[in-house]
Amino acid sequence: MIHFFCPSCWRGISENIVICPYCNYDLKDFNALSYDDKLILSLKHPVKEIRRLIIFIIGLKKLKKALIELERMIDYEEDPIILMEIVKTLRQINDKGSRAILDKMRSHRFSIISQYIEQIEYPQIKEFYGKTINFNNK
Amino acid sequence: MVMVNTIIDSIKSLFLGATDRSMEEIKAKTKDNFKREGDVKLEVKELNFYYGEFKALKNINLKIPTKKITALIGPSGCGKTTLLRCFNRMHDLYPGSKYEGSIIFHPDGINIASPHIDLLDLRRRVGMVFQRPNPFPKSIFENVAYGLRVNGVRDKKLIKERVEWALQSAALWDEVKDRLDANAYSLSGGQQQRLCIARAIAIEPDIVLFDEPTSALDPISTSKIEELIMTLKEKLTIIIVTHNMQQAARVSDYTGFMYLGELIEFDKTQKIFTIPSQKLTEDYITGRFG
Repeated sequence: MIHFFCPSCWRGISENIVICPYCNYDLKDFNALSYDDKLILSLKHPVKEIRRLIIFIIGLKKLKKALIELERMIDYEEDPIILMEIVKTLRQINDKGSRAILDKMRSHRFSIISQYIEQIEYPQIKEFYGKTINFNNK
Repeated sequence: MVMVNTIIDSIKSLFLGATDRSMEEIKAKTKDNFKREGDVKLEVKELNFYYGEFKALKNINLKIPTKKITALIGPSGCGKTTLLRCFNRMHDLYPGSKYEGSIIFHPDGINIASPHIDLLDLRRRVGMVFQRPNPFPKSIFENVAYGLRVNGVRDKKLIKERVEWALQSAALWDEVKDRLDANAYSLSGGQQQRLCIARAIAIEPDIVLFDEPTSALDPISTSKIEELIMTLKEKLTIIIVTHNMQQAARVSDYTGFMYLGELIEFDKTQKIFTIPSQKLTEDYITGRFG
Protein backbone atom coordinates (compact mmCIF):
# COMPACT_ATOMS: atom_id res chain seq x y z
CA MET A 1 0.00 0.00 0.00
CA ILE A 2 1.57 3.28 -1.13
CA HIS A 3 0.93 6.45 0.89
CA PHE A 4 1.25 9.97 -0.50
CA PHE A 5 2.11 13.04 1.54
CA CYS A 6 1.67 16.77 1.04
CA PRO A 7 5.25 18.09 0.66
CA SER A 8 4.34 21.22 2.64
CA CYS A 9 2.43 20.06 5.75
CA TRP A 10 3.41 16.35 5.29
CA ARG A 11 -0.08 15.05 6.05
CA GLY A 12 -1.34 12.00 4.18
CA ILE A 13 -3.26 12.91 1.00
CA SER A 14 -4.56 11.07 -2.06
CA GLU A 15 -2.26 10.56 -5.03
CA ASN A 16 -4.10 12.78 -7.50
CA ILE A 17 -4.92 15.76 -5.28
CA VAL A 18 -3.71 19.08 -6.76
CA ILE A 19 -4.34 21.37 -3.77
CA CYS A 20 -3.65 20.02 -0.28
CA PRO A 21 -6.97 20.00 1.65
CA TYR A 22 -5.12 20.69 4.93
CA CYS A 23 -2.72 23.53 4.06
CA ASN A 24 -3.87 24.63 0.57
CA TYR A 25 -0.40 23.98 -0.86
CA ASP A 26 -0.53 23.80 -4.66
CA LEU A 27 1.25 20.61 -5.67
CA LYS A 28 1.98 22.07 -9.09
CA ASP A 29 4.44 24.32 -7.25
CA PHE A 30 6.18 21.25 -5.85
CA ASN A 31 6.42 19.61 -9.25
CA ALA A 32 8.11 22.75 -10.59
CA LEU A 33 10.83 22.66 -7.91
CA SER A 34 14.38 21.53 -8.63
CA TYR A 35 15.60 18.32 -6.94
CA ASP A 36 17.82 20.40 -4.63
CA ASP A 37 14.82 22.44 -3.48
CA LYS A 38 12.78 19.27 -2.97
CA LEU A 39 15.58 17.95 -0.77
CA ILE A 40 15.55 21.12 1.34
CA LEU A 41 11.77 20.95 1.69
CA SER A 42 12.06 17.32 2.83
CA LEU A 43 14.22 18.28 5.79
CA LYS A 44 10.87 18.79 7.54
CA HIS A 45 9.62 15.30 6.68
CA PRO A 46 7.92 13.67 9.70
CA VAL A 47 9.68 10.32 9.15
CA LYS A 48 13.09 10.57 10.75
CA GLU A 49 14.67 7.99 8.42
CA ILE A 50 13.74 10.24 5.48
CA ARG A 51 15.15 13.34 7.22
CA ARG A 52 18.36 11.46 7.92
CA LEU A 53 18.64 10.27 4.33
CA ILE A 54 18.07 13.79 3.02
CA ILE A 55 20.80 15.20 5.28
CA PHE A 56 23.08 12.41 4.06
CA ILE A 57 22.35 13.29 0.40
CA ILE A 58 22.90 17.01 1.11
CA GLY A 59 26.35 16.00 2.38
CA LEU A 60 27.05 13.94 -0.76
CA LYS A 61 26.03 16.90 -2.91
CA LYS A 62 27.80 19.44 -0.67
CA LEU A 63 24.63 21.46 -1.04
CA LYS A 64 25.46 24.85 0.47
CA LYS A 65 21.97 26.10 -0.32
CA ALA A 66 20.68 23.81 2.47
CA LEU A 67 22.80 25.42 5.21
CA ILE A 68 20.10 27.88 6.28
CA GLU A 69 17.59 25.08 6.89
CA LEU A 70 20.22 22.87 8.56
CA GLU A 71 21.03 25.73 10.95
CA ARG A 72 17.33 26.05 11.80
CA MET A 73 17.14 22.31 12.39
CA ILE A 74 19.77 22.30 15.10
CA ASP A 75 17.41 24.40 17.23
CA TYR A 76 14.24 22.35 16.81
CA GLU A 77 15.44 18.83 15.99
CA GLU A 78 15.00 16.52 18.98
CA ASP A 79 16.63 13.38 17.62
CA PRO A 80 20.38 13.13 18.45
CA ILE A 81 20.94 10.70 15.58
CA ILE A 82 19.64 13.29 13.10
CA LEU A 83 21.79 15.95 14.75
CA MET A 84 24.85 13.73 14.40
CA GLU A 85 24.02 13.28 10.71
CA ILE A 86 23.91 17.08 10.41
CA VAL A 87 27.39 17.28 11.98
CA LYS A 88 28.72 14.78 9.41
CA THR A 89 27.10 16.69 6.55
CA LEU A 90 28.45 20.05 7.75
CA ARG A 91 31.93 18.55 7.84
CA GLN A 92 31.44 17.27 4.28
CA ILE A 93 30.33 20.68 3.02
CA ASN A 94 33.29 22.18 4.89
CA ASP A 95 33.06 25.85 3.95
CA LYS A 96 32.95 29.02 6.05
CA GLY A 97 29.18 28.78 6.57
CA SER A 98 29.16 25.12 7.58
CA ARG A 99 32.13 25.61 9.94
CA ALA A 100 30.27 28.48 11.63
CA ILE A 101 27.25 26.20 12.23
CA LEU A 102 29.53 23.48 13.58
CA ASP A 103 31.02 26.00 16.02
CA LYS A 104 27.53 26.90 17.13
CA MET A 105 26.73 23.21 17.68
CA ARG A 106 29.68 22.85 20.06
CA SER A 107 27.47 24.37 22.74
CA HIS A 108 24.36 22.40 21.75
CA ARG A 109 21.74 21.74 24.43
CA PHE A 110 22.35 18.00 24.03
CA SER A 111 25.74 17.34 25.60
CA ILE A 112 26.13 14.19 23.48
CA ILE A 113 26.22 16.39 20.37
CA SER A 114 28.97 18.66 21.67
CA GLN A 115 30.91 15.55 22.81
CA TYR A 116 30.40 13.99 19.39
CA ILE A 117 31.80 17.06 17.65
CA GLU A 118 34.78 17.09 19.99
CA GLN A 119 35.38 13.43 19.30
CA ILE A 120 35.33 13.63 15.52
CA GLU A 121 36.94 17.06 15.21
CA TYR A 122 39.63 16.49 17.84
CA PRO A 123 40.14 12.72 18.17
CA GLN A 124 43.48 13.34 19.96
CA ILE A 125 41.57 14.93 22.88
CA LYS A 126 39.49 11.77 23.24
CA GLU A 127 42.65 9.68 23.33
CA PHE A 128 44.17 11.98 25.98
CA TYR A 129 41.19 11.70 28.30
CA GLY A 130 40.66 8.05 27.42
CA LYS A 131 36.89 8.54 27.23
CA THR A 132 34.73 6.00 25.47
CA ILE A 133 31.42 7.19 24.10
CA ASN A 134 29.18 4.92 22.09
CA PHE A 135 28.41 6.87 18.94
CA ASN A 136 27.05 4.02 16.94
CA ASN A 137 24.04 5.59 15.36
CA LYS A 138 22.82 3.26 12.67
CA MET B 1 18.42 -33.46 -45.47
CA VAL B 2 19.90 -30.22 -44.09
CA MET B 3 16.43 -28.80 -43.82
CA VAL B 4 15.19 -31.89 -41.93
CA ASN B 5 18.10 -31.54 -39.44
CA THR B 6 17.33 -27.86 -38.97
CA ILE B 7 13.69 -28.65 -38.25
CA ILE B 8 14.70 -31.39 -35.78
CA ASP B 9 17.11 -28.94 -34.05
CA SER B 10 14.37 -26.33 -33.84
CA ILE B 11 11.94 -28.82 -32.30
CA LYS B 12 14.66 -29.97 -29.85
CA SER B 13 15.47 -26.44 -28.75
CA LEU B 14 11.78 -25.67 -28.39
CA PHE B 15 11.29 -28.58 -25.98
CA LEU B 16 14.68 -28.78 -24.32
CA GLY B 17 15.55 -25.10 -23.97
CA ALA B 18 18.93 -23.39 -23.80
CA THR B 19 20.43 -25.63 -21.10
CA ASP B 20 20.48 -28.66 -23.36
CA ARG B 21 22.83 -27.22 -25.91
CA SER B 22 26.22 -28.86 -26.32
CA MET B 23 28.96 -27.75 -23.95
CA GLU B 24 31.06 -26.49 -26.88
CA GLU B 25 28.18 -24.36 -28.03
CA ILE B 26 27.69 -22.93 -24.54
CA LYS B 27 31.41 -22.26 -24.09
CA ALA B 28 31.62 -20.55 -27.47
CA LYS B 29 28.59 -18.45 -26.66
CA THR B 30 30.03 -17.72 -23.23
CA LYS B 31 33.18 -16.24 -24.74
CA ASP B 32 31.09 -14.13 -27.08
CA ASN B 33 28.91 -12.96 -24.22
CA PHE B 34 31.89 -12.01 -22.13
CA LYS B 35 33.31 -10.00 -24.97
CA ARG B 36 30.00 -8.36 -25.62
CA GLU B 37 28.78 -7.82 -22.08
CA GLY B 38 32.05 -7.04 -20.30
CA ASP B 39 31.51 -7.61 -16.58
CA VAL B 40 27.78 -8.21 -16.53
CA LYS B 41 26.73 -11.14 -14.32
CA LEU B 42 22.99 -11.18 -14.92
CA GLU B 43 21.20 -9.71 -17.89
CA VAL B 44 17.46 -9.33 -17.52
CA LYS B 45 15.66 -8.92 -20.82
CA GLU B 46 11.99 -8.00 -21.19
CA LEU B 47 11.10 -9.91 -18.04
CA ASN B 48 7.45 -10.22 -17.05
CA PHE B 49 6.44 -12.23 -14.03
CA TYR B 50 2.95 -13.33 -13.01
CA TYR B 51 1.48 -14.59 -9.74
CA GLY B 52 -1.46 -16.40 -11.33
CA GLU B 53 -3.26 -13.68 -13.30
CA PHE B 54 -1.52 -10.82 -11.53
CA LYS B 55 1.38 -9.29 -13.45
CA ALA B 56 3.89 -8.43 -10.73
CA LEU B 57 6.86 -7.48 -12.94
CA LYS B 58 6.45 -5.53 -16.16
CA ASN B 59 9.04 -5.56 -18.91
CA ILE B 60 12.15 -5.39 -16.73
CA ASN B 61 15.43 -4.77 -18.53
CA LEU B 62 18.51 -4.69 -16.34
CA LYS B 63 22.20 -5.60 -16.28
CA ILE B 64 23.64 -6.65 -12.91
CA PRO B 65 27.40 -5.99 -12.81
CA THR B 66 29.84 -8.66 -11.64
CA LYS B 67 31.39 -8.32 -8.16
CA LYS B 68 29.46 -5.19 -7.34
CA ILE B 69 26.64 -4.52 -4.92
CA THR B 70 23.35 -3.74 -6.60
CA ALA B 71 20.50 -2.43 -4.45
CA LEU B 72 16.81 -2.57 -5.33
CA ILE B 73 14.68 0.08 -3.67
CA GLY B 74 11.06 1.15 -3.90
CA PRO B 75 7.85 1.33 -1.87
CA SER B 76 6.16 -1.80 -0.49
CA GLY B 77 4.60 -3.93 -3.20
CA CYS B 78 6.68 -2.43 -6.02
CA GLY B 79 8.13 -5.83 -7.00
CA LYS B 80 11.69 -5.61 -5.72
CA THR B 81 11.53 -8.85 -3.72
CA THR B 82 9.65 -10.51 -6.58
CA LEU B 83 12.48 -9.57 -8.94
CA LEU B 84 15.12 -10.77 -6.46
CA ARG B 85 13.36 -14.12 -6.12
CA CYS B 86 13.36 -14.56 -9.90
CA PHE B 87 17.16 -14.72 -9.80
CA ASN B 88 17.18 -18.08 -8.03
CA ARG B 89 13.66 -19.13 -9.05
CA MET B 90 12.28 -19.11 -5.51
CA HIS B 91 8.83 -18.54 -6.97
CA ASP B 92 8.85 -22.10 -8.30
CA LEU B 93 8.12 -23.26 -4.77
CA TYR B 94 4.60 -21.84 -5.19
CA PRO B 95 2.15 -22.92 -7.89
CA GLY B 96 0.79 -20.52 -10.51
CA SER B 97 3.90 -18.42 -11.12
CA LYS B 98 4.90 -17.69 -14.71
CA TYR B 99 7.97 -16.10 -16.31
CA GLU B 100 8.19 -14.36 -19.68
CA GLY B 101 11.42 -13.00 -21.12
CA SER B 102 14.89 -14.04 -20.05
CA ILE B 103 17.49 -13.72 -17.31
CA ILE B 104 20.85 -14.60 -18.78
CA PHE B 105 23.48 -15.82 -16.36
CA HIS B 106 26.92 -14.80 -17.58
CA PRO B 107 29.44 -16.06 -18.50
CA ASP B 108 27.61 -19.38 -19.06
CA GLY B 109 24.85 -17.81 -21.11
CA ILE B 110 22.20 -19.89 -19.33
CA ASN B 111 18.67 -18.52 -19.22
CA ILE B 112 17.55 -18.68 -15.57
CA ALA B 113 13.93 -18.14 -16.60
CA SER B 114 13.94 -21.25 -18.79
CA PRO B 115 11.63 -24.02 -17.50
CA HIS B 116 14.35 -26.59 -18.26
CA ILE B 117 17.00 -25.24 -15.92
CA ASP B 118 18.47 -27.39 -13.11
CA LEU B 119 17.12 -25.58 -10.04
CA LEU B 120 19.45 -27.33 -7.61
CA ASP B 121 22.47 -26.22 -9.61
CA LEU B 122 21.05 -22.70 -9.96
CA ARG B 123 20.54 -22.35 -6.21
CA ARG B 124 24.05 -23.62 -5.60
CA ARG B 125 25.31 -20.77 -7.76
CA VAL B 126 22.83 -18.16 -6.53
CA GLY B 127 22.61 -18.18 -2.74
CA MET B 128 20.10 -16.27 -0.66
CA VAL B 129 19.97 -14.63 2.75
CA PHE B 130 16.53 -13.79 4.11
CA GLN B 131 15.03 -11.02 6.19
CA ARG B 132 15.04 -13.05 9.40
CA PRO B 133 17.95 -15.32 10.25
CA ASN B 134 16.90 -18.93 9.65
CA PRO B 135 19.64 -21.27 10.86
CA PHE B 136 18.94 -25.00 10.89
CA PRO B 137 18.35 -26.61 14.31
CA LYS B 138 21.88 -27.97 14.22
CA SER B 139 25.30 -27.00 15.52
CA ILE B 140 27.11 -23.92 14.23
CA PHE B 141 29.55 -26.17 12.35
CA GLU B 142 26.81 -28.31 10.81
CA ASN B 143 24.89 -25.27 9.60
CA VAL B 144 27.82 -24.24 7.43
CA ALA B 145 28.86 -27.77 6.48
CA TYR B 146 25.32 -28.71 5.39
CA GLY B 147 25.49 -27.13 1.95
CA LEU B 148 28.87 -28.72 1.26
CA ARG B 149 27.55 -32.17 2.18
CA VAL B 150 24.42 -31.69 0.06
CA ASN B 151 26.74 -30.85 -2.82
CA GLY B 152 28.62 -34.11 -2.41
CA VAL B 153 31.71 -33.00 -0.47
CA ARG B 154 32.71 -35.94 1.77
CA ASP B 155 36.32 -35.10 2.65
CA LYS B 156 36.19 -34.18 6.36
CA LYS B 157 39.39 -32.13 6.21
CA LEU B 158 38.09 -30.17 3.25
CA ILE B 159 34.74 -29.57 4.96
CA LYS B 160 36.54 -28.31 8.08
CA GLU B 161 38.65 -25.94 6.00
CA ARG B 162 35.65 -24.64 4.07
CA VAL B 163 33.62 -24.09 7.25
CA GLU B 164 36.48 -22.12 8.81
CA TRP B 165 36.92 -20.08 5.62
CA ALA B 166 33.20 -19.31 5.41
CA LEU B 167 32.96 -18.31 9.08
CA GLN B 168 36.02 -16.10 8.72
CA SER B 169 34.62 -14.52 5.56
CA ALA B 170 31.37 -13.88 7.43
CA ALA B 171 33.34 -12.19 10.26
CA LEU B 172 32.04 -14.74 12.75
CA TRP B 173 34.98 -17.07 13.26
CA ASP B 174 36.54 -15.25 16.22
CA GLU B 175 33.23 -15.27 18.07
CA VAL B 176 32.41 -18.97 17.55
CA LYS B 177 35.69 -20.83 17.00
CA ASP B 178 35.61 -22.22 20.57
CA ARG B 179 32.00 -23.39 20.40
CA LEU B 180 31.45 -24.79 16.93
CA ASP B 181 29.41 -27.66 18.41
CA ALA B 182 26.97 -25.32 20.16
CA ASN B 183 23.45 -25.07 18.79
CA ALA B 184 23.07 -22.27 16.23
CA TYR B 185 20.07 -20.96 18.17
CA SER B 186 22.40 -20.07 21.05
CA LEU B 187 23.79 -17.22 18.92
CA SER B 188 22.40 -13.68 18.97
CA GLY B 189 20.19 -12.49 16.08
CA GLY B 190 23.08 -10.67 14.39
CA GLN B 191 25.38 -13.68 14.80
CA GLN B 192 22.68 -15.99 13.42
CA GLN B 193 22.36 -13.77 10.35
CA ARG B 194 26.14 -13.85 9.83
CA LEU B 195 25.96 -17.65 10.23
CA CYS B 196 23.34 -17.70 7.45
CA ILE B 197 25.69 -15.64 5.30
CA ALA B 198 28.51 -18.10 6.08
CA ARG B 199 26.18 -20.96 5.10
CA ALA B 200 25.33 -19.21 1.84
CA ILE B 201 28.94 -18.50 0.86
CA ALA B 202 30.43 -21.83 2.00
CA ILE B 203 29.58 -23.46 -1.33
CA GLU B 204 31.17 -20.52 -3.19
CA PRO B 205 28.18 -19.24 -5.16
CA ASP B 206 28.61 -16.65 -7.89
CA ILE B 207 25.83 -14.45 -6.57
CA VAL B 208 24.27 -13.90 -3.16
CA LEU B 209 20.81 -12.36 -2.89
CA PHE B 210 20.03 -10.43 0.28
CA ASP B 211 16.36 -9.80 1.03
CA GLU B 212 16.29 -7.01 3.63
CA PRO B 213 19.02 -8.74 5.64
CA THR B 214 19.17 -6.22 8.47
CA SER B 215 15.54 -5.25 8.96
CA ALA B 216 15.21 -7.55 12.00
CA LEU B 217 18.54 -6.55 13.55
CA ASP B 218 19.76 -3.95 16.04
CA PRO B 219 21.98 -1.05 14.85
CA ILE B 220 25.31 -2.63 15.83
CA SER B 221 24.49 -5.93 14.11
CA THR B 222 23.25 -3.94 11.10
CA SER B 223 26.56 -2.13 10.94
CA LYS B 224 28.50 -5.43 11.07
CA ILE B 225 26.38 -6.99 8.31
CA GLU B 226 26.81 -3.90 6.11
CA GLU B 227 30.59 -4.02 6.57
CA LEU B 228 30.51 -7.72 5.77
CA ILE B 229 28.47 -7.21 2.59
CA MET B 230 30.95 -4.58 1.41
CA THR B 231 33.83 -7.01 2.02
CA LEU B 232 32.08 -9.88 0.23
CA LYS B 233 31.79 -7.99 -3.03
CA GLU B 234 35.47 -8.72 -3.66
CA LYS B 235 34.47 -12.37 -4.05
CA LEU B 236 30.83 -12.30 -5.16
CA THR B 237 28.15 -10.44 -7.00
CA ILE B 238 25.63 -9.12 -4.49
CA ILE B 239 22.04 -8.03 -4.98
CA ILE B 240 20.28 -6.51 -2.01
CA VAL B 241 16.66 -5.51 -1.48
CA THR B 242 16.27 -2.88 1.19
CA HIS B 243 13.62 -0.56 2.54
CA ASN B 244 16.35 1.51 4.11
CA MET B 245 17.38 3.96 1.40
CA GLN B 246 20.34 5.18 3.38
CA GLN B 247 21.59 1.61 3.59
CA ALA B 248 21.36 1.39 -0.21
CA ALA B 249 23.22 4.70 -0.50
CA ARG B 250 25.89 3.55 1.97
CA VAL B 251 26.68 0.06 0.72
CA SER B 252 25.73 -0.30 -2.93
CA ASP B 253 27.52 0.54 -6.17
CA TYR B 254 24.38 0.47 -8.33
CA THR B 255 20.76 1.10 -7.43
CA GLY B 256 17.50 0.28 -9.17
CA PHE B 257 14.32 2.11 -8.22
CA MET B 258 11.12 0.12 -8.77
CA TYR B 259 7.51 1.27 -8.73
CA LEU B 260 4.35 -0.74 -9.41
CA GLY B 261 6.25 -3.64 -10.95
CA GLU B 262 8.37 -1.49 -13.26
CA LEU B 263 12.04 -0.60 -13.08
CA ILE B 264 11.87 3.18 -13.22
CA GLU B 265 15.56 3.97 -13.03
CA PHE B 266 18.82 2.06 -12.74
CA ASP B 267 22.19 3.74 -12.39
CA LYS B 268 25.23 4.22 -10.20
CA THR B 269 24.08 4.70 -6.62
CA GLN B 270 25.72 8.10 -6.23
CA LYS B 271 23.85 9.34 -9.30
CA ILE B 272 20.48 7.90 -8.27
CA PHE B 273 20.62 9.74 -4.96
CA THR B 274 22.27 13.00 -6.03
CA ILE B 275 20.92 13.60 -9.54
CA PRO B 276 18.10 11.16 -10.31
CA SER B 277 16.86 11.42 -13.87
CA GLN B 278 13.23 10.47 -13.21
CA LYS B 279 10.70 12.60 -11.33
CA LEU B 280 9.26 9.47 -9.68
CA THR B 281 12.69 8.64 -8.25
CA GLU B 282 13.05 12.22 -6.96
CA ASP B 283 9.65 12.07 -5.31
CA TYR B 284 10.33 8.71 -3.69
CA ILE B 285 13.73 9.75 -2.32
CA THR B 286 12.34 13.01 -0.95
CA GLY B 287 9.51 11.16 0.81
CA ARG B 288 6.59 12.44 -1.27
CA PHE B 289 5.29 8.85 -1.24
CA GLY B 290 6.33 5.63 0.36
